[in-house]
Amino acid sequence: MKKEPICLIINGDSYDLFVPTHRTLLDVLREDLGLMGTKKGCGEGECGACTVLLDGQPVNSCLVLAIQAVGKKITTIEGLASGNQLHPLQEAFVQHGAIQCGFCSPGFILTAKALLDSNPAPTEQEVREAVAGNLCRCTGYQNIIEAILAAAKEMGDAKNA
Amino acid sequence: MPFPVYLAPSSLDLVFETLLANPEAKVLAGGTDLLLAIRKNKSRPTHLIDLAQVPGLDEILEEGHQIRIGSMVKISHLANNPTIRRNFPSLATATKSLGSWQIRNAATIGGNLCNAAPSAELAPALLTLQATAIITGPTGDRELAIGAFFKGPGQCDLAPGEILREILIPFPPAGCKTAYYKHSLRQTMDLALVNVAVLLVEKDGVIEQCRVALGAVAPVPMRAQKAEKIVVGYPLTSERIVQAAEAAASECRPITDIRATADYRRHMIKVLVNQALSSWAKGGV
Repeated sequence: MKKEPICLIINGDSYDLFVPTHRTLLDVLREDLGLMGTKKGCGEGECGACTVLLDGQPVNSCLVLAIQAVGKKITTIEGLASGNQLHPLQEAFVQHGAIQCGFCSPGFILTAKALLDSNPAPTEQEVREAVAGNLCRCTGYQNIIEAILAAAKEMGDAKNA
Repeated sequence: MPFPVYLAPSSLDLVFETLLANPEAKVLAGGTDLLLAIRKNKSRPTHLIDLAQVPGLDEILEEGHQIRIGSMVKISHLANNPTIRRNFPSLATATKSLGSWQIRNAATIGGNLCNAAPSAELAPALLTLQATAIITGPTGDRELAIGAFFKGPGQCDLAPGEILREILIPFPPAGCKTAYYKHSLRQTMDLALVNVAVLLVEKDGVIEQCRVALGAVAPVPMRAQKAEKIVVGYPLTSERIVQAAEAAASECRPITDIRATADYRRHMIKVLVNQALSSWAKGGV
């Protein structure tokens, strides 16, 4: 088993690691670094539970080798809150009942963050298209869509205040 | 089965050398298909040759009468490129219907084509746009019409040591309209049961050029040349549309598999070709 020394930049922190070259970013995050917020769902790029941001863009971390993420800025759900202050998207998910079992929430929130970073005032259709790669088996999606739209409004209001 | 050795050569010469030295190696592009195939033991390469460190493969360049798309250009990059959206709407639509946002941020045009799935999302549009594959290898470059690049399900025309370097697409003539239609069970994250791309140029009320391409209904994405012949040289009447759609359905060669029966695929080709041509006739596409 070939191992390589790599450096990953996760939520602004650098991590020096020695990992097998076939190890996925998902497994490194969860098992080597204990960042359990990123969930392992299908492991096949279908469910979006393992979504993280690479240079601000959502990807399925189960389909990315850790070594492929070298030199990129990785954002996981742990990187969103500032101290005890939840990110407006996290707050909106709580307020709108967008979290039931919670397994899909980190992936949804990160995809939504990438959307709002590039499109601060999306339409409902744009939100639905953006999160099409994130599956939720509990909520029926409606509350998730409402939470994302509410967070967009909240963040827009905060900016204009 | 040990996982393949990962290598990321920094130049094309090193890629060729590594591929020739390791005949069971596979080229890694976005990895959305290959990494999964390895994990499921469907593919067992000894080495993974990641092209990510080779400079210049991830660029979209406009060049006179054509556009050059590097094989490592991500699907999301294609989907958002203003030139592609303006000049190649069928290709832009196809990119947006591939996988999910997460998949489009990883998957590449080269990977989509080299994977050579009969249902490859980008293939029908590229066939109608008469794209050319630029293949590069230890003995130099060669050009191949995209239709000739596909050899069979999962097989494309690459000799040992060769890779797909870029795709060239000529800008379509003025007044040309293109469209892409896909039929799948889900709106996103689903492979096409069948897919259809069309390109039409009209002059003085008569169809001057017509290209129709079909996916997931033959071992490789195919042109529906009988359907095209019915349309070219005449005004596009509803009778011609019906005849062309029937011709396309009769010349495709679908199989029955886990996702659909051959009869259903044939029927849906008729429906989609009819829709595409009717939409054009109504001023849309």
